[in-house]
This record gives sequence, structure tokens and C-alpha cells, in this order.
Amino acid sequence: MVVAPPPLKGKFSEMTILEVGKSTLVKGMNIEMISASHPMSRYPGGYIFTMGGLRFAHLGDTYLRGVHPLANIDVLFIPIGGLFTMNINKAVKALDRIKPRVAIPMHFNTFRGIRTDPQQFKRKAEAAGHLVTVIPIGGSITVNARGE
Amino acid sequence: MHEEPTVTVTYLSHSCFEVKDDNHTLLVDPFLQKIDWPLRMAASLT
Repeated sequence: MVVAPPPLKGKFSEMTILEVGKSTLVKGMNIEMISASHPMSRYPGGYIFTMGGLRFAHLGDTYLRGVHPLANIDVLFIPIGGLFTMNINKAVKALDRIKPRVAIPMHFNTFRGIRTDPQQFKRKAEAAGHLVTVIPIGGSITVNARGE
Repeated sequence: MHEEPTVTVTYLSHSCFEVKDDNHTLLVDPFLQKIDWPLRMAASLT
């Protein structure tokens, strides 16, 4: 099952179309689409979903102006690469707005225009009182509702 | 003894993550730009 925004309608045989600001229940999981600010996308957005009693938010590709306060986010996926998304300093400001339990950086170092140091983001974010976990590509972490 | 459900988060690449528990596997931002770039955001749930 693919959940996707309206411009992708018809691209998959089994899909649910979801608009910004709306939510849907798919296979027992609630998924909500949130807005984003990304000049190269015709339909920028991110997602909030709950799994294992944890509330996740994936911001998509976004500038800071597309980031709004979100309630009770346990795990936040946040772009830090700085090309058509937030850079490290703006991403720390986004954490100030959302206040997740833990943030995981993404959208960096996968092409030349978005070279940045996730450990620098971690240091700056943690100096501002936010917890950050950097996962290398291919790496995994486990989380649960107790915060372990 | 009650055991808290555990969720595994794997960073696949760029902005794509696999988020998995005992009941679901969710791919967030799974490279659908290859189909209709730059429409990027989608979630694939199994």
C-alpha cells in the first residue's frame, strides 16, 4: 500500500491519496500529511504517524518557514543539508518549535550540494537542549515508548 | 510482565527510513521521485 499526495494519483495499483492537513487510517495505522516549504516540489509535505506507541514526524524537504509546532513528537526526521532545505542552524531552530523527544538528521551528504556534518548538528542541537541521534546510512536504532 | 513494543528505525539513504514493529513495516520517502520527480513524499506501508 502506498500513501501519496494527490499528484501521484494513479501511479500505483494499491494506493491511498492523502492531502496536506488530512489523515487516513491504513492497515490500522493513522498517517497524517503535514505541510512543508520546498520550492522544487509541486506538492511539498511531510508525515506524522504512530507506531509502537510512539509518534513519528518526517518533515520531508522543507525550509524553516514550512516548519510549524507539532505536538507530542517522539521521533523527528529532520533535513539538515541546506540546499532547498534547512541547514544545521535552521534545523536547530526547527527543533525549538517542535521539541521532539529525539531528532534524527536526514537529507545530507548524499550529493555534493548538501555536504554537512551531522555531528555538528548534534552538538548545536544538544547545546540548545535537544536530543539528537545520528544514524549512518544502513544503520538502525531501536526505540520504545519508555524512551529506551 | 508487560513488555513495551519496540520500533526499529533504519536509515536507508537520503531522506528514506524504514520504521518497523511487529505489525507493520513503513518506508517513508521511498525514492518515488524516480517515478515522478520532484514529487517526493510518499509512504509505503506493508
